[in-house]
Amino acid sequence: MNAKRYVNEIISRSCLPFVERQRLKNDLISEVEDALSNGETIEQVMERMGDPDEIARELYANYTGTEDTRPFREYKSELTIVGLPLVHIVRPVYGMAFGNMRVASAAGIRIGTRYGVRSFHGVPTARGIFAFGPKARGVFAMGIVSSGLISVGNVSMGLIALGNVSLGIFSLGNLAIAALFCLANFAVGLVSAGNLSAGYAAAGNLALGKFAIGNEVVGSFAFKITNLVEQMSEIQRFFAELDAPAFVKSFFTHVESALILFTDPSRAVSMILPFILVLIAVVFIPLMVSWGLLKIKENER
Amino acid sequence: MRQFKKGVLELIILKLLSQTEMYGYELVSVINSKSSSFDIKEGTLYPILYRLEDDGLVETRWEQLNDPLKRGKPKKYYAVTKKGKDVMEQSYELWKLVAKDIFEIMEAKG
Repeated sequence: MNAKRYVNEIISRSCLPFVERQRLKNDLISEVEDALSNGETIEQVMERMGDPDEIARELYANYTGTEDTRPFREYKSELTIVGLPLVHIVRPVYGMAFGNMRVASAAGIRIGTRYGVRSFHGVPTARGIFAFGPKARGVFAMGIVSSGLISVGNVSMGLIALGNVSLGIFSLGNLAIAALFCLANFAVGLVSAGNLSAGYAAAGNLALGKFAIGNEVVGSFAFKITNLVEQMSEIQRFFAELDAPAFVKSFFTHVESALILFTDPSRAVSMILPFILVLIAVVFIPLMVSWGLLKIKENER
Repeated sequence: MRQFKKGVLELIILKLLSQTEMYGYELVSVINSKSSSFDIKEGTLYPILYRLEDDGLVETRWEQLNDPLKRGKPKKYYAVTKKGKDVMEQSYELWKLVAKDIFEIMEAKG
């Protein structure tokens, strides 16, 4: 824990607009660093100044001139592993975030235009082994914007990234870019599959790559599919005879299995069910768990 | 009760800054040490200080670091403006009137 992190803990929970947070950051870091250079330890400074959440609460109350609670709920587990909490959940309270705008403009003058409240104002980033929140970072991170080892989000980044826009070593999503393998509507990666895919090896409706297979293809070793059922044996021969690195060949083995599946629509449909179950497990269960934990925390207050 | 203390805090901050310019956090310790009834924290001070700055009653300047070898970051000094001094004096006059009235009402026999 150092000056920057302590101050960040404070201002990230303050729910204040950017300009105010910047001012506070300057003044607070200056204060803490000055105390440290005067011989105090960071622990002593933290003891003297107080709990970051409490300071943030005071700041918010003094800025808005109300006793309203800040528009988010937070659960952070006590148990930490390598310095990261096991679970950290941040839930914005959207109704309140917009309610603040009403209170703020009713309070008049300064707040009206300056405090255009957006619901993610100063809401802390969830950071933990399991992290859930609008902004999440962790080993398993889920959020609107998320980053981590396994990251799920609208915009996500990580080793394994799932999201609308995702970037990772392995990524899956709408628009996805991957270092290794990518499955997306618009997929770009070393090896990629999707509607529009581009890569060293690519498979899709429109496929661009050195090795490519699809309805429209651009590549050195390319196969254009016009009629899947009729061309199936041709396709299999194409894959078998392809002179390509091992990882490309193994990718195409899976593409081949998928294509065989597509020739039989009823079997393809039967694959949807397990996919939905996986989706439920990955998304729904963490949501329920985090909702439950937040409820427990609220009741404890 | 907290509200009237807060209103007066602005006045006190203006007065202290009119005597000498200070870092933001210096104000916290000076206020706490100069008065027994105030025990304020950063969470209370900074919103008020920034409001005074936004209203033009207080201004900031960055400390000139003359020693280039010193690794410290330049710090912000807060000082009162002319407008701040005027507002402070007017506010204090008003406060004195109010205080007098309150005293008379509260101390009235009967």
